[in-house]
Amino acid sequence: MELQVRRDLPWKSWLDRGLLSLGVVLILAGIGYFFAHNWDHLTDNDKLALSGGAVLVSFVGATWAGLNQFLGKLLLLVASALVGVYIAVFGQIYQTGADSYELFTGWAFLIFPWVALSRFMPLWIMWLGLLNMALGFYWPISSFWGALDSWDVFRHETISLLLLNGLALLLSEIARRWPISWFDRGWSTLILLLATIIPASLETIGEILYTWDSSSSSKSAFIACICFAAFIIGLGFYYSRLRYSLPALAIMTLSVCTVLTFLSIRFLDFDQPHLDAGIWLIAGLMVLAIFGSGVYFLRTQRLSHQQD
Amino acid sequence: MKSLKELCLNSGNEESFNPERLHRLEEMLIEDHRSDLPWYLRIIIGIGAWLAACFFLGFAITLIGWQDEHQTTIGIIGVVLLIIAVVVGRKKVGLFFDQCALAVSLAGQAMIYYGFVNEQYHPLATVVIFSLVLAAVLYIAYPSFLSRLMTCFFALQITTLWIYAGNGEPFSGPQRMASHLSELVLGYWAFHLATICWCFLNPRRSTLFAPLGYALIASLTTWQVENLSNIWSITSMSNSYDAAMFALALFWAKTVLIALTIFGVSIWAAGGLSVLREKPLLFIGLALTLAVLVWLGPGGVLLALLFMLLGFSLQSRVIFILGLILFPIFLSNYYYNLSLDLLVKSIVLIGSGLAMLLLRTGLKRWVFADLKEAI
Repeated sequence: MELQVRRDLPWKSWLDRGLLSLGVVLILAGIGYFFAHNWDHLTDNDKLALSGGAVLVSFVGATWAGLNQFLGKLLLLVASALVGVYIAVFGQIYQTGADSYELFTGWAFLIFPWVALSRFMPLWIMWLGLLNMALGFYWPISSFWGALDSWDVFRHETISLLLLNGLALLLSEIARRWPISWFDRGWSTLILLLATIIPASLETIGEILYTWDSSSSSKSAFIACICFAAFIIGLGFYYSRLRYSLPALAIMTLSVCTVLTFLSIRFLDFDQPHLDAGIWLIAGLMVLAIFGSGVYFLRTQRLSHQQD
Repeated sequence: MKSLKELCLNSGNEESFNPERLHRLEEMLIEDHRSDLPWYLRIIIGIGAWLAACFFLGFAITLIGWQDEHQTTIGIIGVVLLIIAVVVGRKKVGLFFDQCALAVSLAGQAMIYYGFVNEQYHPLATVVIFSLVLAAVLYIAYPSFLSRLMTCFFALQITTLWIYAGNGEPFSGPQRMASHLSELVLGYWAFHLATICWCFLNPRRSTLFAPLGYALIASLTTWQVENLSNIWSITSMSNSYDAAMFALALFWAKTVLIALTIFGVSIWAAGGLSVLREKPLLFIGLALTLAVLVWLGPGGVLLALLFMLLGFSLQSRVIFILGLILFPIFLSNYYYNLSLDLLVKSIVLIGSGLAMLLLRTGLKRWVFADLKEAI
């Protein structure tokens, strides 16, 4: 019986796909090494032609395969990624002096028509990732608000990323009301939710840790906690009542538990040099209560929707 | 679709499937379904339990103070914590408490090591024996998969350290005689490979000894990655030429052992010795391919191939994915370390790629031509 199971395993397709992938990867790596060897001997025009040619070949391949086919969409994704390589080579040759955020903004701007035409969710996610990178690199060198210290850079980054990804999440939730076949309703929503909740949690935790005791800006921690609570309650209501999703609720619960744990640590004054044993005990009990309540909430949600 | 109750009632055996029994069975199935939590909920439970356990340990340690004069007290508290963890873990109270018990058990073990067999006061050999005994005792007493895996892994890694460092100060370089070191390294390498096969290739043993098998796989992977980072360099020899020759011989011997294991696992996966007798040419081809691979000396690449083969034939996703992750790491390291210039390297890479595609075509045409399967 057990022997038969082993014999029935798809050995043929496994070896077939494995050897094909390995062969293609080795040949591509070999081509990469070949260009690396000759890179210094290539003229600037050759370098630009090579990187631009790679974009063109991928795009022509995508059009040939058809944008409604998976291969075509995959090739368009490759072409979009290679645009970034082209911009980097261009910047290196002409020493444009462009900042990193300009590279990512330009990249996102140039590929937008393909993204809009592709009807391919991974490409949209990649495009949003580029905008995230652009925002992330923008604030450290921004002169818009004057010179920012590291704490202000962190604040600006988390809030702007929260707004950007939150807007994307909102648009995706609105778009799912229409019957669009290519629009994924599962993993992409969770990625967008994660991309929204992570900066929101980081901002709140940052405010709790850095501004709680500050006499000048202690209110900002309080305001951050109130905003975070309102944001989570709103999302929780949506994903439990209007469009039930247990993974989405789990992401939110984990984020709330993390923020509450940091809040407990702040309340218990964990940064004092000699901690009492009682503080450790209370912290442990609080963590048990926080995570226990979180899990209880999720289990209740799961059971109530199983009964429905 | 018929419900389970309807299905059983219509089966004709009313004696064994009376309605009360079936109602109870249905309730049990619903309860079982409810307790089957998705993986992300398990992760949240695990994080909460481990975090809470850390705070409670902080409480215990702060109570007595972390000082050398309290070393024995810490050891005793470790024993108490370990006993509590084993009792709670065996009771199967729930996932949350299981995770708490696991965290407390690991912390208890750390406290026992600190309290009773601290390497500052005891030779490393004593720590090794202690870790092996503790792993064996906990394997029997505490039937938790993760606990078994982690305890065994720790004991195996401590033994690796002892093999290279002897009873000298750990991490200050090997201090063992070269001849003894080579015997121990080879023996321990062979022990890993043989025990992995022993644990997994017999279905009767695979359930009980799976944690040990996974611990051995994790230990072997860590060891190979340590070799990749030159942690265990042969520095104790006065002559650098001797040291290089010694390291090379050890490397070849270990590679041959992996190749032999791959060959053995392939025979097992294909259906045993009867298939070997049926298709000797296929296995001669495999043996020749392995011999070429050994000659090329890719080291860790063969280990990754072994894990992929083992994972695929056992249908174990974890082992297979581990092999898939290790394969590009060791393969790129192999090509990166070839003493060739970029142009020759590119030719070698393209040649290897073409060889793979040729091998694929050959297999399709001559080996798998008569074999049909669903893709």
